Amino acid sequence: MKKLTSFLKKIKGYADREFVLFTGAFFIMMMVIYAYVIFEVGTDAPKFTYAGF
Amino acid sequence: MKKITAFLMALVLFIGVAVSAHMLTNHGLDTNNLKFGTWISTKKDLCYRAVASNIEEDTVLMMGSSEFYYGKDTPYHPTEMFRNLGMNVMCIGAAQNQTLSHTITLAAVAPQLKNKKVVLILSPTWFGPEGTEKSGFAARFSESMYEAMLENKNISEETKNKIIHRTEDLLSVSPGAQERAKLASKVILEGNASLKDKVSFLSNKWITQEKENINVGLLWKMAGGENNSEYVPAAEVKEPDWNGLAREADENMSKQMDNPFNMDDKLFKKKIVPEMKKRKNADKDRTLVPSPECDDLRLFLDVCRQNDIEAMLVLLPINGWWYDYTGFPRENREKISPEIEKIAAEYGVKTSDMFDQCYTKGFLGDNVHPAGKGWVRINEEAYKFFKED
Repeated sequence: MKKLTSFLKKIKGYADREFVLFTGAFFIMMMVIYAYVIFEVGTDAPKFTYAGF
Repeated sequence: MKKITAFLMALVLFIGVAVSAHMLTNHGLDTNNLKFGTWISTKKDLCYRAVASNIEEDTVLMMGSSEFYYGKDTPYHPTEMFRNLGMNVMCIGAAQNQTLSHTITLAAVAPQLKNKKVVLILSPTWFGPEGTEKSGFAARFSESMYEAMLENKNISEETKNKIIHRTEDLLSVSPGAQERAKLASKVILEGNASLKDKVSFLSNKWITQEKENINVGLLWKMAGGENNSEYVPAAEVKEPDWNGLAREADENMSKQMDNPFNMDDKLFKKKIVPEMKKRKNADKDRTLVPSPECDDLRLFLDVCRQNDIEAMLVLLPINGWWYDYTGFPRENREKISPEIEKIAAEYGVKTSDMFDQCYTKGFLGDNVHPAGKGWVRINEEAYKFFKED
């Protein structure tokens, strides 16, 4: 119990406001890149037009 | 140090999200739902896993193009009719799909197709001196289907090479896709790919799969699709009265056909009126055959033959009155019919030639797309073909 309390204390000390902000910012950046890769469709595909109507 | 730890922490969270999304969507693609095949979606058509994992014992294929998007709200559209008939028909096709893209799809899913039957709806406008337009082909090119086609061991090396050459040529307008297609054939077919090529191929493959699976999974849910725990085939339904349905469709259509080309009035106003002046006598030199599309069709039939798949070719008509107006010589138009019959005879496959319906009122809704009566006749032919032993 004592060990756990000291471990949690250590984490609490480390995970200050700055740490949370950086983690959040990195995570959001990763998610934006991920969402772009997943949902971008055909950005390199040429536009199609009917040659013969 | 704090920033590095924060980055690692974010990475762990991100991996957790990505892995969860992967597991959820991968599981979600196997819908066990009879209606999945008749869900018309270009994303579905391009996703190998979505199509392959929803092919059941009784699934048959129906491949076409933009016509699947016409008359969707009517009871005569194949999606409606086949659902009501309890048939599991995987409809694949959208505008810009032509024979080669269907050849790749069929070659990809052939090993899963136990009920070895396919109907290919041929639109005469696919044919012409240039054949498939490069940009149209690129827009309908599926990397996952292409890779599965390359992995199909039933397809001969000669056929694969023909498909590869044609694909790489048509993809010249889309260098990224062309490069990935070249890489796929190098890694899958040739044993001499470098480690760099293999890593690049596998990472491309992973990204493509994730993209397709998540997109299709989400769209299926957004369309109201339901996943079942196991697949239950629908009960047999009596064959409909096709003539009665055609009469009914005809009566409905006759009330909304007040224009010189006997088209659906709404489509006439939307599609034809803005083009009319420009199109007058614009097709004087137009031809359908010879066309590179004919050799693409031979490739499709090669794939059928090599996978023991029975095919039926349905040749659609085109609006005779409209193409008279555009000056398209009738003798040039009519050459398509014997050409398709000739190719079908080379392979001994069935045809349903509807080109004699070019001047039948109510068969087409615009210049090329079937209306109610047209759909009834197409469905009738497909139904009989699917049901025969």
